[in-house]
Amino acid sequence: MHFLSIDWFSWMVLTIAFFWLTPDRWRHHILTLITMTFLAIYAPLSLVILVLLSLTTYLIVSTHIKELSGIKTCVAIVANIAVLGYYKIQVGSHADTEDSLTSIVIPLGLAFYTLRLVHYILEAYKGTLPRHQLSDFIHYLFFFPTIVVGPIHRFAEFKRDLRRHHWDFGMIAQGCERILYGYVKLTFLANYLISGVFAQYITTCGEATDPLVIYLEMIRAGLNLYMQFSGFSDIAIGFARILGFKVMENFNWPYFQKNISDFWRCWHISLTSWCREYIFTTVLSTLRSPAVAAITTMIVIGVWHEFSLRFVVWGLYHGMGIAVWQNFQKHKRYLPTLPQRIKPIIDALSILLTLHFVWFGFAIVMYPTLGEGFTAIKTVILFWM
Amino acid sequence: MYKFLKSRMPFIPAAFLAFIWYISLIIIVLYFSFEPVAEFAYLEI
Repeated sequence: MHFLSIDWFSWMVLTIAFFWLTPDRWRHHILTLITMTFLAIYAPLSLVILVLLSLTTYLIVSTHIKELSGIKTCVAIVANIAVLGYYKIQVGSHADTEDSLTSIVIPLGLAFYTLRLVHYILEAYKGTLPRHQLSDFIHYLFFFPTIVVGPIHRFAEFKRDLRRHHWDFGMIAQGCERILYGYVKLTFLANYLISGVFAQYITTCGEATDPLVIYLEMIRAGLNLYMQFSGFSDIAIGFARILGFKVMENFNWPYFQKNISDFWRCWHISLTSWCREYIFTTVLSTLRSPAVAAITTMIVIGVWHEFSLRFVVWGLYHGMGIAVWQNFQKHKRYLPTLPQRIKPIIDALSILLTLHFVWFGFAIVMYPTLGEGFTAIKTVILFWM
Repeated sequence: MYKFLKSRMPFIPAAFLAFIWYISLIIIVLYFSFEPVAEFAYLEI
């Protein structure tokens, strides 16, 4: 279901009404029940998977809430990743071919709630989970605002809001404002300006194989993805805020960052911080190589999006970009110091370079096959030939 | 936006401008909500 549908809006309004009209002690149970009903109607398979994974994870973790053994941690993580991996491999096996008639669809929200479950297991392993009951854990996983496309919020913060939340007019006003901005991004900026007016303009620039058209199409894809995803995140964050929960931010002006490392700190923050915490840090502490840690992390992020060669290459591309940036930082002191007055020009050029690095990355994954992506990049880079 | 305006001007003009701002955005959303919905890969991720 799209957030722009009247159905989703009705679900949102009714959820808010039911939530605040219900007595305090039943409020969260009602919210979980609404999520379950929503999933039962629109994605029954997702509901079954989420219930099974939640119970399995809780059974493994709850008996050792203060000190989860390494083997049990691995079993719990593998059980969760296996389900996601199964669907990713099924979908991904069709992605590198031109066969678009695949009927396999990833269950709604699976990629997002799997990461929440793994986060919960790893925090249990580290012994940092706050004291809680099964109901808190279920409320966390079945939190309606974030069930469809995140953000991948964390258990400790959720548990804190679960205990403290109350009717706060300021929070509700902020939530409504945020939802409104989200809808403006989706309807006006993404759908009308970027996918309507700009896409129409691109078609007047020449044939689909012209370098200029491919270049503009790359920009359009990048802008569309950002506006859509940040719009969806705004709606989810606003919705959560109306219910009294502060869910973590997902974007912080990523297209205005001066290097690729900062870009990834500001793009899909809930995912990148998750990966930084559990993958980057682990690889770094094991291998003592920031470059390998960055490349591994970015490949995992790529595979999380889609289990296919083009997303592995995309992850490698970004990982290598970050590794190059890290090395540049080390050797920067040998460069001559530039005058302060040209700093704005250097900053603008850095932003432009980062933007183009990201947009060329989109070209790797925006075509059905990896070959087509490389051909598009080659056409743009060698535009005079 | 209201908080931003309130920090720079008295209550009445801030409230008035914020009202105009929010109403304009609501009109924009309603007007453009009938546009075709663009693709968004994260819904099938």
